Amino acid sequence: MKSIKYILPLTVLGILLLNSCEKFIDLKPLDQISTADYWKTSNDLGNYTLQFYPTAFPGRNMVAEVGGNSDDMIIGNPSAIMNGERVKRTGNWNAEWTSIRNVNIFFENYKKCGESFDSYKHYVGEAHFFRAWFYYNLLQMYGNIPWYSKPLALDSEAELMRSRDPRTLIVDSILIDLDKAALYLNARNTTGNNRLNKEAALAFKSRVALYEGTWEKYHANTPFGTPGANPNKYFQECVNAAQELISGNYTRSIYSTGNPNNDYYQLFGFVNMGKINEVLFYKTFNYTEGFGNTVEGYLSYNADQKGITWELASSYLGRNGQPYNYLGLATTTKGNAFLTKIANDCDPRLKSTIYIPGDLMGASVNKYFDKPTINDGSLQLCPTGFQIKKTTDPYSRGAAQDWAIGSETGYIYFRYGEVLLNYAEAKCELDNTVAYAQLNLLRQRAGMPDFVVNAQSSDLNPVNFGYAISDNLYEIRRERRVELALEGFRDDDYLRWAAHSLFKGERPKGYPVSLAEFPNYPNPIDANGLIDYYAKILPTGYKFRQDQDYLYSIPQDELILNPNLTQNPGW
Amino acid sequence: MRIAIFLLLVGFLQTQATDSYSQNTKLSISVSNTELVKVLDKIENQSEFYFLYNEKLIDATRKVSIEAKEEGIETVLKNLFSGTDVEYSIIDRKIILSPTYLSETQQPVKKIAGKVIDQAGIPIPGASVVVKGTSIGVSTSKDGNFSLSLPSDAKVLVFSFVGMKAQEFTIEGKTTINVTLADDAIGLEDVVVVGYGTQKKVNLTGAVEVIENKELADRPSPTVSQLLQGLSPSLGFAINNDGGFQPGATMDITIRGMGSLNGGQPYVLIDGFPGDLNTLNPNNVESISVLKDAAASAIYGARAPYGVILITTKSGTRDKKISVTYSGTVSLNTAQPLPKSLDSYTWARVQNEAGDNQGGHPISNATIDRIIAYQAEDWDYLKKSMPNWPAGATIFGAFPESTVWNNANLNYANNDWWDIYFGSSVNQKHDLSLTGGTKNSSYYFSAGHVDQSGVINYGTDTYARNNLLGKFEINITDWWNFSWETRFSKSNRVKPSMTREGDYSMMYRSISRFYPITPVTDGFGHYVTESHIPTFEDAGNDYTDETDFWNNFKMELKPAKGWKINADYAYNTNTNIESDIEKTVMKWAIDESRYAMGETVPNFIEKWHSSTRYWTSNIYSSYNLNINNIHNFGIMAGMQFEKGEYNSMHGYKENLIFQDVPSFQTATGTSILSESLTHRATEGYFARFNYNYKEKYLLEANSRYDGTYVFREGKRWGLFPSFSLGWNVNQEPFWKDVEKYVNTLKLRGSWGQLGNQNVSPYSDLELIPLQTSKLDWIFNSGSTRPIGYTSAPGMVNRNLTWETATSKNIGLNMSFFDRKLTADVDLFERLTENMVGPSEAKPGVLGASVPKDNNSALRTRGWELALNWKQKFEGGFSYFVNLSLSDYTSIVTKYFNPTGSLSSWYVGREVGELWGYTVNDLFRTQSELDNYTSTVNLNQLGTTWRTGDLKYEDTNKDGKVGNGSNTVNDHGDISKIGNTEAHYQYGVNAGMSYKGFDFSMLWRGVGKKDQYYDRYSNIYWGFTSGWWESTIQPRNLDYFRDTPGTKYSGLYEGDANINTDAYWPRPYQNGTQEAKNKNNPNTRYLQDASYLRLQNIQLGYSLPQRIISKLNLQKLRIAISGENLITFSKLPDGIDPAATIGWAGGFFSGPTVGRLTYGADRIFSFTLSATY
Repeated sequence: MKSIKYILPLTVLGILLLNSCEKFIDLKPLDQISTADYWKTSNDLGNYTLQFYPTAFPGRNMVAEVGGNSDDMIIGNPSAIMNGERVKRTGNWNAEWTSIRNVNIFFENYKKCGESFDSYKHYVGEAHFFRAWFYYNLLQMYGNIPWYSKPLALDSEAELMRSRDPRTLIVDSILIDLDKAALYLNARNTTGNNRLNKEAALAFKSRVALYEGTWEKYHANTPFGTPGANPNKYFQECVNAAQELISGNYTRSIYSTGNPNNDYYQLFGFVNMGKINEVLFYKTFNYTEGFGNTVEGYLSYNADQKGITWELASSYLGRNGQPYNYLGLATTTKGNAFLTKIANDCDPRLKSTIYIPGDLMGASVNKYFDKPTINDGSLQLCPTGFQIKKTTDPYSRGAAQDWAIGSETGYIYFRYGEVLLNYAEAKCELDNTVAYAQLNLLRQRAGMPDFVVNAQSSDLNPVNFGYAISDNLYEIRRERRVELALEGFRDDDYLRWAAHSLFKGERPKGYPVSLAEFPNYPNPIDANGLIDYYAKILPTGYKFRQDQDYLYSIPQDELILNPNLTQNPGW
Repeated sequence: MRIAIFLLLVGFLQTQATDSYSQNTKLSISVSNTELVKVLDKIENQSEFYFLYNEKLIDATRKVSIEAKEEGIETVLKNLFSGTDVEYSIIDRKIILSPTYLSETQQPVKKIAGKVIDQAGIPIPGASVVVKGTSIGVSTSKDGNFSLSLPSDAKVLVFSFVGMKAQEFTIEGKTTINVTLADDAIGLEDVVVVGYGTQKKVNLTGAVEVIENKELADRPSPTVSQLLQGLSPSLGFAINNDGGFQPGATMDITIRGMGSLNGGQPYVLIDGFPGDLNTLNPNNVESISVLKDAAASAIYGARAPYGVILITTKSGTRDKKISVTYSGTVSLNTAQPLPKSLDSYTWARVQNEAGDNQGGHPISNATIDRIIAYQAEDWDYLKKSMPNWPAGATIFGAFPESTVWNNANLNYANNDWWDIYFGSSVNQKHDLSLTGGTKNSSYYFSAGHVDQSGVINYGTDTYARNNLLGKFEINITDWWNFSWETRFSKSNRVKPSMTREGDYSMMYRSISRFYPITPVTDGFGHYVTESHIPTFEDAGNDYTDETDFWNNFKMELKPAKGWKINADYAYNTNTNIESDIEKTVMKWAIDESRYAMGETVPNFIEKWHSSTRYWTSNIYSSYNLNINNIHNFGIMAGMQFEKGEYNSMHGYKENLIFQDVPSFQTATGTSILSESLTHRATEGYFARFNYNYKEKYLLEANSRYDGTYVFREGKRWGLFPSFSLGWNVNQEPFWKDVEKYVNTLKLRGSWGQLGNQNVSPYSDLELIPLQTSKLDWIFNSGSTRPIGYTSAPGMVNRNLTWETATSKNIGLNMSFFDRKLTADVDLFERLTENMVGPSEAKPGVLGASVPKDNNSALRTRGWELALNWKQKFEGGFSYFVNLSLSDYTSIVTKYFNPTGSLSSWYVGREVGELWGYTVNDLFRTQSELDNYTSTVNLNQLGTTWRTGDLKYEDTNKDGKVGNGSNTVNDHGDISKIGNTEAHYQYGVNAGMSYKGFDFSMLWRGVGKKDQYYDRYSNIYWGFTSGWWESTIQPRNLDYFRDTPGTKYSGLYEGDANINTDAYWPRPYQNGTQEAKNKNNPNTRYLQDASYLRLQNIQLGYSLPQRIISKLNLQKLRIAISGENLITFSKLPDGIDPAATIGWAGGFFSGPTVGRLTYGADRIFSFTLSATY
């Protein structure tokens, strides 16, 4: 019996030793797939490109988000870009390159898919589109950047330490990506317009090409331009892409129901834009999915320190297609009367963009626009008197109600109207011709007479681009500003046009306030009787630094990590 | 063993009971030729009598025979000891046996007598008085007296008693000697729990610290980690999450600071198995050993890179009658010191003044007129000023806005939200334990309940935990001991579900940014949602229900003398069920109809059902050999295996059709099901060798060979050795002369290596993350969001392996003044090499986080000091003071950062190092500003400068202020301005006792720590760029203003408003302008974050024995105590210095230092404990 003393521990020991080998600690993951096992089916590819939709298109509120850095509107404080307030960026730009890497991982692996190319080519098209999209965003911020078509490895020393590629190379690569996207993506009539499609790829291509063409043209011979660049090559690319969309077999048109007073306004207020052929690609919302937006909350409910500038308002032509004497009117007619008068007299797109007294703001709460909230607390404040109406719909969910109610207005990323304007501008830049047919489509929807080119000298509200341009181009730029107002194009436009003279040294003004309507109006008013909201903050106007503010600074750490990287001009 | 335990008990038991027990108890015994010890056992088993005797003096193995039937104890004893040299005395239930030594062989030359008492003057019965060098001696009687016949050559008497320091007295012709024995402060016989065994304290060579139960028990804080604060010089504490001291809060503990830039917590073992100290009932803790250096913890190899905390829970005692202890605590929790509020009118005007500087008036004049009217109770004016005021509404404060009530800046009430939100709570804690044992077995059983709720007046915010502990231990044979322990803990946490807006801490963000103009209710008395009371109360709750269940089996075999084999096995199941109920909150419209709050649609239920199953087993054997009491050898070797599986199932379902019965069953919308599965396994082999020469020269070596699943094959095994030496200098002959000044002195030194495998597993595999959540995109208008997509694999490092921490320790233990004062000093260094941590920076074009690498090194050097003073006076008064103080500094000694960028670690960078600008003043006047900017370019920090902005100094006189290229060699005008790590952490534990009264207090503090708050810290700065995010307090009103005030703007009307002498800069409602002044760390606004807190103060009274014995109790104590009552800190109220991170919410995204946190409650409590 004594022997149990020894047998017992030895048994336990034996059992443990049986277990004890490398196998005991050799464990594999239980709920994850390694890259080696992925990429086998078209589903694998499709599930992978899904991740880029929210990353590429995070927008929720359109106007409230995209217009703040332009001379078209103000949001609270002066734009840090326009006022030269940006300081040198510290830190790194890792986050900006994540999406590029992630999409390149797709390119590195998609060929492993065992199915036929047709079964997954749409996803390849998506990947091309997304890479173009992410690179375009980087290009706009930083200009010259290195182009990578493969994911980098830790030991890709040479690639990691590369100097910057000229921006033209980046744009050329983007255009190639977009050609492939247009080739591989399904057409809109099969994918719908909530998913990337051929039409969107062509529209995007026209946008990028026009951007680069004008950038190189107007920044030529400055540190921002690329020596030897050929702007016309890009104008031609833009024309080609637009032409393809205009004349090819695609689903696109200008939205018009024959009601010029309402069509332009309505276009931006739909929840479901699926049947609107003009909308090539948009983001749709669904409140009950917990996926709503606050478009109405920040427009029809509270102005939240937003207002359209005098400069944008006075860009609209008279209803007759001729320049309109806004300033003359302002000396005699003020406040609500002024708004009512210009609504009547001017391009109907103006009254679709700003609230006019008497406008219905929210049907369910029976709220009408009484007068602009120019003397309210900052949440309610419309600092200029021109209160934003574009993208609202009084009959929609949440109209004129607390933003917490939520709204579902669609967020347009690409519409055909832009493509026509891209086309017209590129065409004009190429050979100074005017694409009347295309421009008239927009004019007709708006209820305006056909497009004519007025002499710049006859403009009663002249704008100064800082250099001379042809009358044709001047008028096309006006049309673009009016048609695309508040859609987020204006800041890109003045940057690519090198047009800081539009606002540098100037202050954005508001409407002619009526002291009868606002007896104790506390803010400054200029000599013309216009609200001069920034008089105290910008005594000498915007202080844009044209030697540096056309691009962002490269983050400080990156310059240290990679000595081959150079800082942007002026920083 | 038995005698020691019983003698110890004497200290607890008073001896004033009557002798009636011995007269009334009858015994029946019938044995023949049996060892005396067995007979005594029989008597003990039959009765409540117990025997005290010294085994050296009484021959317990003598064979006796006795026949007794219903006899009194006197008779039995007379029979047993007649004719022997043993005499007995009966004191209540206690029987003392002592030798008579009526020796005829030696000539009694003289007699000596006397009395033995303790320091409190209480007689010590049963103390041993022996003639040195002989076996001649006696035990003292019940009143401490002794009388002894001395042999002629007797020179010295040795007096000893367990737990007391032995003393020698020269006889030198004396006939009486009265002796006062002192408590043995060092506890030479004290045994300390170390890894895989125990060690006598004198023989320790590693740095080990012991914390006793009494410092944790009967305090109201629910978790052990909170209770440990201040009790040890080597432990650091912080709450590094934005939950703060929420109910059931646990603290992050570090031993000797940061081990790795990777972070890491100490390895916690409970009764020998890894566990979570926060699921323990503090009252069950017997002792805690903190193993600080590598020598002490190397036996745990790769499991213990940052030190070990060994917790031993209470056990039963052999040969002890059942004893039952109850203790209960009721406490009142009140909130931390809170910030002060401004009245609504002042608030509105100063906000508008910031808006005048930039950003516009947040509060319109019309609203201000209403605020004034509201404060003047001019209801008629209010009614007239709001044409839309609904008929029948009688409560003012809210503003009707078409069909709904405004939820922002149009209201005009006047509320102090701190006051509305914060209240108090009543909490309780109950413990019941039962313990005892027979000769061959012992048992311990305990049940505990703790209940805590938060101090916010609205919503449900509670924590409750039930603990059960059962232990049973038995000698199966005399060489085979078996024990079983079962430990069960179940905790429930319920908190308001704020996740749609942030998290739990979102409550605190909401409270801190509340506007005084916000009304509690609308015109009809319904809560307005802006008050957030409806969200706290109606948005549902998060429930966490954790069950932790351990079954531990241990066997100890002793096949031969000195040889032990231990085998143990533990099985743990841990189940965590979490349910988040997100209800739709309904708002009230002005026509009293209801509508849903947008962010709370859709409503849903989400559950996580997670379980961990884990087992571990150790088998080890030790052999101790003692050669002639000179050479003492010990060897031990063994192995450990562990394996764990974790699975978590997550379900989500939308559209609860009955919000009040939330379940998957009552939800009808989209559902998502997902799970997470992991497993882990490690194995390790270990060995220890120790040797000492006469307990004078000590040596120990440990080694462990560990393998883990975390790394890939070829990188998974590591060997971790350690060596340590000790020298008990006071054992040396030459110490005799010094001994009266320095009673003991021990020198220790150690060297050892530990490994760290605390990195996520499979970092060598490229895995595709599978997302099972809803995509933030919809592919067809009106349809749902697609569920499930994949994302990009992270970068991997195939070669990742252990990081190795090498530590060195030199220690000194001393005692002085008859051991009343002890001092322990340790110096240590830890060098963490091959550090797996934030890896070298790569250009951002890589587009991914650089995988971790074994590429850097960190060196920590520090020291610890513990001073303990303990003194007892005649008459029963005693007191103690324990001081502990420590500090350490960690410096990066290897890091790949060739450019010396200050944005990452660099060689020589100290952990916590804060770089910043020098700012001595604000620009007070325009001319000062113009002068300065004409010579100094401030463009890197901002392009617009006004008076009241910070005057950044051009310290390097290069004409511009900036951070150069932000590198070590070119850092422009920034320099090291402080350190954000806690330095000079200290604790003071002091107390006294007198005749049943006891008093103690525990202070903990941090001597030096700096903190800089950026602009999102509204508690600090008051103003933030968003008026809705500000928390302006009276302390923030000394801000720069240079324009006269008006009725609508400015702190004061007219010129009285001007304050260019201000402390705070000019406020703006603009992010860029605010950032320029606040986001660049600088000397002017660097804060001293040191603090001192009274963790606990306690006054108790134990009722005297004569009263409680009538109640049949052994002990009855009542106590009042307070936790966290006083905190000395220079930080603003609302930021707890021990939990500084608050929530900045969705707007500023993420947790930020300097926001309102749930600071430690101030707790007043009453405790009653009784032992039967």
